[in-house]
Formats: sequence, structure tokens, C-alpha cells
Amino acid sequence: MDSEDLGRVSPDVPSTNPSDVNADVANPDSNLRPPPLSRSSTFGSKKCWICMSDTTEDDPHNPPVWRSPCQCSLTAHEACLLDWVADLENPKNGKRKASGQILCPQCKSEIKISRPKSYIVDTYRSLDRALGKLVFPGLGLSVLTSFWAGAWAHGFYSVYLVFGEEDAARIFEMTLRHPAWNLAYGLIPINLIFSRTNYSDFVLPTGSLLLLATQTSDEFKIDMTIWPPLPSTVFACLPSIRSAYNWCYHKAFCDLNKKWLEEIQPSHAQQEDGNAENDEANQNLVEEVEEGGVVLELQVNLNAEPEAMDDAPGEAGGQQNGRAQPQNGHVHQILGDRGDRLVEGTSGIGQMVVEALAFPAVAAGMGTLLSFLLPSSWLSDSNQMNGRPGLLRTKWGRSVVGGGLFVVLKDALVLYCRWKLAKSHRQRRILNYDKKSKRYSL
Amino acid sequence: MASRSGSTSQGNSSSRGKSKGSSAVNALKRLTRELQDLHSSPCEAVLHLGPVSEEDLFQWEAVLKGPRDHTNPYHNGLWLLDITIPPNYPLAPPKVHFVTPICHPNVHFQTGEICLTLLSGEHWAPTYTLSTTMAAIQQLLSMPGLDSPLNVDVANLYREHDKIGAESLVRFWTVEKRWAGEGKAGFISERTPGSGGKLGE
Repeated sequence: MDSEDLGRVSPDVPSTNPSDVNADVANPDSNLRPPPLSRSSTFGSKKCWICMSDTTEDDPHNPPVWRSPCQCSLTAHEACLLDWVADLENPKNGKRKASGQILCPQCKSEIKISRPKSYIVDTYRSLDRALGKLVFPGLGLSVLTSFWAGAWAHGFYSVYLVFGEEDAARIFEMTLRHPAWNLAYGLIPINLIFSRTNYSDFVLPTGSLLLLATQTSDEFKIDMTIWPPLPSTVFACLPSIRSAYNWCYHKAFCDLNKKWLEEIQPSHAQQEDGNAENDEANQNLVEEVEEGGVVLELQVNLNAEPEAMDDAPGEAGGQQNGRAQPQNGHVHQILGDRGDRLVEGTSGIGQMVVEALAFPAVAAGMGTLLSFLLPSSWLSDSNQMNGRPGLLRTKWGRSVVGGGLFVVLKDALVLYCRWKLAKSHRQRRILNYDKKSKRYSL
Repeated sequence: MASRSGSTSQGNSSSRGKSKGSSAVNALKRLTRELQDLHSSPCEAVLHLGPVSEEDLFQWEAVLKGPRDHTNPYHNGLWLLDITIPPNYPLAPPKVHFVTPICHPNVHFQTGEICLTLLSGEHWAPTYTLSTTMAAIQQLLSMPGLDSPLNVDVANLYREHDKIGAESLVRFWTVEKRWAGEGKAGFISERTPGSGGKLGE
């Protein structure tokens, strides 16, 4: 509120009632320290600005102490002032000034109070004030810390799940020797989430190159053998593999996806879409088939940003041409299933985060599944090449392959369901209800 | 504050005195003094300002006048205000709210709650009296604060610089709900057309 200035309505000035003068004379100098002579002679009577009684009302037998603590004309009973100060300093009623100073409400000059000095109490008070100021930074810090702790625990368990007991133990031991590596655990989930957004497409592969470069100059002997790969090589290459896979997927199934999605649109929606593309603000309601084709989700397609982020300036041009490629937006929605778009809406973000965080566990689970399904000769000690155990013999190798397999299988399932839905779309019929036999029939 | 109605002034003040220490006694002394001063120099901002009953000095009411300025949309308005005085007055501010509805950015139309820093604990100082508080509220009528409005509708009109729209709305309510003799102050013969009205109508 800016009615600060409204509050400055002048408070009552001590009254200049002439009848008080005599009374004051009759009851002279009841205070210990008389106010400056000029004012006393001008007003003749003092009036307490807190209880508003004046010297005429003072009890002659037990005269109260008068104080004029500041440069302005305000005078008051000491008892009233002390009450007021106590109220201001009362920590319960939140209006305590941060400075700890008591200011005159009229002239804003400081009102000085003498009190027995106690270093302990003073230190306690200043500590109390300092702690009060630290509440919000402290809260923020604790939220951040707990977030980091959660991320760290997730990273730790991810490593444990993906690498299996023995390898994980070795990694943890190495971490103990290099405390800075502890940071890496916390970065794992952040990386997982981040890798689902478009920003990572450029950053992560460069990171993997960097990692490869550093590895060759490590104390390891330079290992020219390519197969079976070292774990670090595999994990460094994963982003690149992912990008390559996404690119292939896009090339192979983009048009098919588009066609299938077009087929299951309501007929009027297809026309409207075509028209709406011409408008600047087109919000197409897209029926998107989610995994398994069970969930039909209505999504609002705000297709400005995802367009720009993807690989096709040509497509953006096609978008502007409008009718040439009316369903472009939908295609990006489909690819968005695997993170090719910027996330839209909170449910999208939530789903993406959960998927990203669960992925190590899923991959490890698939790895375990693989260990049961694969022929035992691949898993036995005899599977050895270039002095290292074969890829599938190690737990981490199975996890990586399992994770990749999961992604591929999931995509295949989604594609199958879309194909199936598109195919059966034209064969849908509404059943008639026969009132006599109480049955539905064609 | 629990035992407000029905008890005598003596019983009332002594019970307060016992429960709240000396503060209620101080408050009573100060209120008596303010009441005396009001007789010698009446408050310009109000038609009436005083305790609801002789027995309870902690419950006051006022009939606020609109600003004198003819161009002000609140000009010629009258509003009944309810004033509750805390036992630790003047260390704590009185609680004031409009009984007559008023259309103002800083007053809640339904509850009559007033948003004024003077009335919040932080900016209150014992130098203010009930009389100056009334003057401050009258001043609030001419300069509304639009930062934290309680009546969003009229505040938005002002924010969009629709001064004509806002002021005509204010004028309408000022005439429509003008105080018409409700409350103890009804003895005052200032009654001009206007239905008057209670909150929540």
C-alpha cells in the first residue's frame, strides 16, 4: 500500500489550554529532568503523547516522572514510554525494527534508553537478529541440498543397478580415492533428465568426445582393441548412438507415422487442421495414440517451438506454405514420445522426468532378463576376447544392451499399435441396439 | 474483548485491568481523555465519533463524511464505521471497519475491511488518536492506493486509467448506500435521500 503518507496525519499537539497554566504552577517540576525552558514557557503545560493526560492530572502525592526524549515537542511519562518501548521490543508482535533502534514517531530521531549493560544479552539479541535474517537463505539452501542428496542417491543406485554388485563396488572404491568424483553421482539423474530435451543433442556427443580424448591420455595403456569395448567407451558413445538411432527412426517411420495418424483423425478435424495451419495461432487438438494404443490422449499442439528445434528449416517452410504438409505438427508430436521436442505442459514434464529417472532401473531389469534368455555359453567364463570378458558377460554390458533393446521394443510396439489402429479405423462400425431382443448387432 | 456487552463500566474496566495488567487501565484513561478532547475540538472528518454506549469505552462508532472537495466522487457521502479498541490501546491500533458499504480500492465491499498501513501494527504509533485516525481514513478516500487493493473491480478501473468509469461507479455507491441513520448515531438529524444499507446486502 502506498498510503504511507496518509499515516502522517499530524498527531495531536500538546494542548495549549490556558487554564492549565495555573495548575502547572501549583504543581511545579514534578519531573526529575525539566524540559527546555523555552517550551515550558510557551505551552505552560506538558501533555503525555501516549496517555494524553497532562500535568494537571498528575497525582500530587506520587508525581510521575516526565521525559522529553527527543528534539521535537513530544513529552511523555516515563512509565508510558517504557511501556511503549517494551511493546515495540516484544518479539511476539513482529513489528520489531531490524535496527533495534527506538525512533520517535513524530520526528524520527532516536530515543535513547539507558539500561544496565549486559554483554550476554546484547550478544544474544544481535545473534537472534542475524539468525532471523538467515531464515530464507537457509530454507533455500536446505531445499537445494535435499534435492542434491536425492539426485546423489538416485545416481548411486543407478550405478549399482546397472553395473551389478561387483563392478559397482569397485567403482565406489575408486570414488573413495577421488572425492571429487562424488559429484558425478548427483549429476547422473540431472543428466538423464536433461538428455530427454532437445538441448542435449548438441552438448552430450561433444561431451562424449571429450571423455574419449581424456581416456586415451589416462594412465591406462592405450588400448587399440575395439571389441569388447570398455565401459567408459560405451557410456561416452551412448548419446551419439541415441542421436543416430533417432535420426534413423525419423527417416524410416516419419512418413508412415504421419499417414497412420492422419487416418485416425475425425474427418472434420482433418479439414479444420488444414485450414488452421494457415492461421498464426493454431491450436490443433491432436489425438495422440499413446503406448499400447489404450490411452487416447488429447494434446494441445502449440507447434511453434518444437518446429524450430527440430532438424528441418525446410519443414518450417512447408508449415508456412500450409497445405503442402498439413500434418507436420503431428509428426513432431510423435517423435516427441522419445524426447525430440521441448516438453509441453506440466504432465508432459512430469512424465518425462519419471521416465528418465526410471530408465536405469528399467535397463538393469532388461539386463537381468537377458541373462536368463541368452545362451549360457555367452555368459560363461569362456566368452572372452582380447583378454577382456565379452560384453554380454558383464552385468553393465547386459544393462546397456537391455536398455537399448527396451527402447527399440517400445518403439516397435508403438509403431505396431499405430499401424493396427490406422488399419482398423476404416472398419469401425456402430452397433445398433435391437429393442426387442435387447441385443446389439450390426 | 470477550466481555464486551452487558456489563457495567466499572466491572468491565476492572476485569480488563485484572486480566491484562495495567494496560487496560491506561487505555481507559487515554480514551476518556480523547473523549474529552473531542468535545472541546471536534473532529472535522466525521459527523459523529464516540462510544456506542456509556458503559463500554472500548467500542466506538463514527459517521465518516466524504471529502469537502466537490469534484471528489465521495463528496457528500456518509458512512457508518465500527471501531473496536484493543485493551493495550494506544500501543496497538484500533480496529476500524466500514459498516456502510463503500466502493473504494482499499476497502473490502462485503466485509468493510480497510487496508491502511496506519491501521496495521507496524506503522501505528501512540501519537495517533481516534480523531486523527478518522482524518486519515477520510484522506484515504481521496488518495486510494492501487498496489494491494481489497476491491479489485474498482481498482482495475483506476489502473486502466478509466477515471470516469471508476468515479461514476464510486458516485453511484456513495449515493445508493449513503448512511441513513443506522446505529447509535441515528439521533443526528442529518438525513438525506439514500437508502442506507448494511453490509452484505
